[in-house]
Parts: sequence; C-alpha cells; structure tokens
Amino acid sequence: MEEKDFVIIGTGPAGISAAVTAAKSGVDVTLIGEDPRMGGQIFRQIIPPLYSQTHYVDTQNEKIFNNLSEEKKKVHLQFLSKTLVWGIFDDKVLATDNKDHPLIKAKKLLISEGAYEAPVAFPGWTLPGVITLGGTQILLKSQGLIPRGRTLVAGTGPLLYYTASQLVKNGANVVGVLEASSLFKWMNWTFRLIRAPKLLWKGIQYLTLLKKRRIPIYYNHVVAKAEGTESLEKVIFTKDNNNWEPQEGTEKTLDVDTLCLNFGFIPSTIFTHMAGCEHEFDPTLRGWIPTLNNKLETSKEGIFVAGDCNGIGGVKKAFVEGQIAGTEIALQLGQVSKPETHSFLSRLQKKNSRLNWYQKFLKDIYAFRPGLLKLLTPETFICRCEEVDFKTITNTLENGAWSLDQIKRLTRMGMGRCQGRFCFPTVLGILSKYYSQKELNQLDFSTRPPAKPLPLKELI
Amino acid sequence: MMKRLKQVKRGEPFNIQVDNEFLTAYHGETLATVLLSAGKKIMRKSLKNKNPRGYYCGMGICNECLVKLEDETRVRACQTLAEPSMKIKTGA
Ligand SMILES: Cc1cc2nc3c(=O)[nH]c(=O)nc-3n(C[C@H](O)[C@H](O)[C@H](O)COP(=O)(O)OP(=O)(O)OC[C@H]3O[C@@H](n4cnc5c(N)ncnc54)[C@H](O)[C@@H]3O)c2cc1C
Ligand code: FES
Repeated sequence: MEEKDFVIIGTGPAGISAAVTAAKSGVDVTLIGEDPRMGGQIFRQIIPPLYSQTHYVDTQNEKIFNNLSEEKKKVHLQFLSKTLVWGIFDDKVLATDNKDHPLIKAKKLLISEGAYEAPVAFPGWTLPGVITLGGTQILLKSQGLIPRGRTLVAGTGPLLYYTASQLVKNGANVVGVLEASSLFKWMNWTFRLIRAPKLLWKGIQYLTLLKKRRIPIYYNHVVAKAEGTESLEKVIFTKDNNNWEPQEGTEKTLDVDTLCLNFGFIPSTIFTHMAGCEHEFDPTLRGWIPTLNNKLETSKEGIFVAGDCNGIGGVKKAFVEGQIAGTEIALQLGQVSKPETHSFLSRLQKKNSRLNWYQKFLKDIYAFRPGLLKLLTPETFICRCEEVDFKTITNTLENGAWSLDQIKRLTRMGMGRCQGRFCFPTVLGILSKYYSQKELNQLDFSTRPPAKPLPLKELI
Repeated sequence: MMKRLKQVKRGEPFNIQVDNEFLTAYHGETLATVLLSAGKKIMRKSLKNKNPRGYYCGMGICNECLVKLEDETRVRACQTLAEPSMKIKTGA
C-alpha cells in the first residue's frame, strides 16, 4: 500500500489552500478530487476543451482563486484529479477509484469534502425538471448551459437572487423568485451586512436587475406542489408564515418547465462519520458537525476538517481554515518548528473567528423552520432512492422506532444510492420536533463505504 | 430543457447514440448536458414505482441521473463525459 505524508480529500478553496500552505513548508502533499479541475463548488470552472471568455465565478472571489492558482504553480503537489474517494478504513487508509492509486495510507488526513443542498420534500419534488440551485449553477459554470423555457427560482437566501440574476443576464426566462422568509426579516438581515459592504452592494445589484427586468419576488411564499405527467409542468405555491408553514387558501399556480430550489446547505459528514470522529447534531442544519479543536483536528488523531463540511461559512472561511489545517499539519510532521508558526497560527485563528459572524448570518437565514414539514402528504416520498413515503415513516415512528438505524432497517430509508443524504435531513427535521438536543446527539448514524456508489466494475 | 450558451466555444460536434436516436455532443460536455440540451429530461425510472427521474443535484450524489452504458454498467450522467461512439440507454 502507498504511504503518503499528507492527503487531502476535496479540491475546493479549503482543500487547495491547505495544500498550498503545507507544500510551501516542504510537506509532501497529495490532493484528491473527483472533478476534472480544481475549484470546488464556488470556483467550478468550465470543462476544457469547452471554452468561455467570461468566467461565471463572481469577480470579488475570483481574486482569491487567482492568487491561489498562482501560488499553486510555485509549489510541488501531487494532484489526483477525476479520483473519487469511496471509503475510509482504519487508521487513515483511503480507497479510491483511481487504478494507479487504489489504496492510500495517510499519515495526516484533511477532509474538505464540502456541503450539499439541503433537501425539502414536497409533493412532486422527484419530477424531472425539479432541480437544485447548485445543480443549475454547475450547468452554467462548467457546461455553459441555461434553462430553456419558464424557470422558477425558489427557496430562501442570497443564492436565489444571485443565481436568478445570473440566469437572467444570460438570457433565461425567469418567471419569478419565491422567498420563504418575509421582506421584514430580510431588512433585518440586510442590516447585518453593513459589516460587508461589498456583499451588500452585490445584493443590491442583483435585486435592481431583477426589478428592471420585472421579475416578481414573492416574499413569504413556498412551493407547495410540483405537477406534471412525465416531467414538471406546473408549480403550485402558497403564502407562508414565519415558521414557513404553508397557508391554506392562498394557492397560486404557474406554468413552469424548470424549478430551481435552494434552502441552504448541509455539511457532508460521510467521511468523518466513516472515520469514527465525534460529532454534534445541529437541529437548525438538520445535520451533524464534527467536533474539532482550535487547530481543526477531529477527535481522531491526525484527521482534520476544513471548509463547508465543518458548517457553511463561505469561501473566505474555507480558505482560512485550509491555511490553519495546513500549518498545523506541517508542524505535526516536523517540517516547521513551533516558534516559526506560533504567531502565524494565532493570526489565522483570529482571522477565522472574525469570519464567524458570516457563518452565523448564513445559519440564521437558512435555519430550518419546521413549518415546511406541513408540505408533506402521506404519499410524499421522503426517501427518493427507496421510495419511502411520509406515511410509512410516521407509522414506523408511531410503532416506537426512533433511531435512524431502526427506521432504516424497518423501512429501507437511507439504504439507497444517495446514502441518506437527501432523506435523513427530512426525517431529522421530523425527529427534532419530538426529541431533545441531547437525545438527538445520541442518534446513531452509521455509514459504510462506498461513500458514493461506484459502477459495479470497481467493486469486483 | 436546457440550452447551450452561444458565447461558450465548443469544438467540433460528434454524435452519441441515446436509445434509438443520435444526439449532438461536444468534447468537455457531460452526458447530462447532451441529454438536457436535446430536451430529454428523463434519465432513469425509479426502482419500485417506475416513476421518471432526472438531473437533480448535478454534483454526483443523488444518483437520479443514472443512465446505462452499452456494457450495462450504470453511470451518473452529470459526472460522465460524452465520448464519440458512446451508446447509452435512458429510462432504464
Ligand atoms: C452546490 C453548491 C453551490 C454553491 N454556490 C455558491 C455560490 O454561488 N456562491 C457562494 O458564495 N458560495 C456558494 N456555495 C458555498 C461555497 O461553495 C462554499 O462556501 C465554499 O466553496 C466551500 O469550500 P470547500 O472547499 O469547503 O468545499 P467545496 O468547494 O464544496 O469543495 C469540496 C470538494 O470536494 C470534492 N469531493 C467531495 N466528495 C469527494 C469524494 N468522495 N472524492 C473526491 N472528491 C470529493 C468535491 O468534488 C469538491 O471539489 C455553494 C455550495 C454548494 C454545495
Ligand atoms: S444529478 Fe445527482 S448524481 Fe447526477
């Protein structure tokens, strides 16, 4: 088996910045990413030989990326692209689908696998044509595609306005934006953005563009239902209250070809769970956060976490966290000495805590409001893969099951190919109504490899 | 369902066979791009109820975009690059 000093999973801003930081100190770094190019979600680049003069990455953050790319050229890194990590076994052994590097043992491991879109189940959410806003962005950034036909953007948060205006600028027919929160709430949140005038200014620009193009923004509205025979044709939406609970008798219908949804993001903790690290459950995220010390090391010695999989904190935080982990790992591997890094590390830690307000800001905006659970009808699928509906879940709960593993065994929920990523949050939302934080923390969550299903060939 | 932006330069087109028709593809495009640009939204059928499913997360984790290759392996259309002479089946 290959042995490596420092292995990083994920090539987003967190992974790259850790790689560059450690490599600058002389650490032998192996960076593994599933995508053909580095960048992660926010800096997702067009896949060559497709070529675009315009970058669909926003300009303010592009600077961070360009600097990173320049620094990356100056250091030596082993970059395994198009390589999927599908399992973590005892003591930092990684299994990948890369034929030349199937098993890698890491002395130090950084997990920076990012986050994924928070699912919200409602009748019709499995119809083709209902897609995530992240998925919409990926098509635009890496493939140069925009939706054809009538497009509705819905959910909550700043990404709605950013993406809607990006789509409109590129000629898409956006028929509206549904925002679950109220205008009043937004005015309050906007006030907090005074600390980040550039972001505030960008937000104003997006809203001005949408207004100029007469695209209606429906505050306090949620999608209640998606309808269509073989794919999406109609969206029924309603007013909601501050708990995001749909209000009966306020239904409106729109003809829609593509519905792009975003209710925030959930940190990916598949690998930290697989590695046996400790976690804490966060009901507002409907997910877990790994427990870390101030150097971002988990409860398992030598395994570190940085970026979105440690709570959604935005690109700047991902970048700084990568630097902290990279520095600490260089220190632990003996490439730099403590006095050399002491002031650098404490500066980084201060910078990181200064960025906490933004993480808190995003957390407040996206915090799950249980009113959304009222969208579920007995027949709504909660688990897309195994087609387990709400009625089956409620029956199981009423019969006394309460741990995720029990529900899983009795219903097959979460046993499908997405590994529970798109059903656990809904069930955890339901469970949060019944159980205390302490009980939720004790919920068992077991994951087994593969983290992402492989074509059968790989496993034989 | 999706359209290709004119300002993005694509090289020489080639064809891939999807079910019983030929669809235009360009190097650098994923199977999902080829299908969605041709208006084909349905990529697989659900296991139990045979309901249509298609592109959802775009980042390789939902597996709703699975399509079948000639050798019967299933791949995620959003993560698999189109290559000349590929033959795929949807709705399986
Ligand atoms: C879908 C989506 C869209 C977003 N859009 C925006 C936006 O428009 N603007 C904005 O400000 N912020 C956006 N964000 C938030 C922003 O991406 C983050 O704040 C920041 O990019 C976090 O960086 P990261 O390095 O932690 O993770 P990411 O950038 O998500 O990088 C994680 C990397 O890990 C790789 N990976 C994951 N699992 C595996 C595996 N098993 N094997 C190999 N590699 C793996 C992924 O391919 C990816 O490259 C978005 C987030 C998501 C999830
Ligand atoms: S769209 Fe989710 S895996 Fe392809």
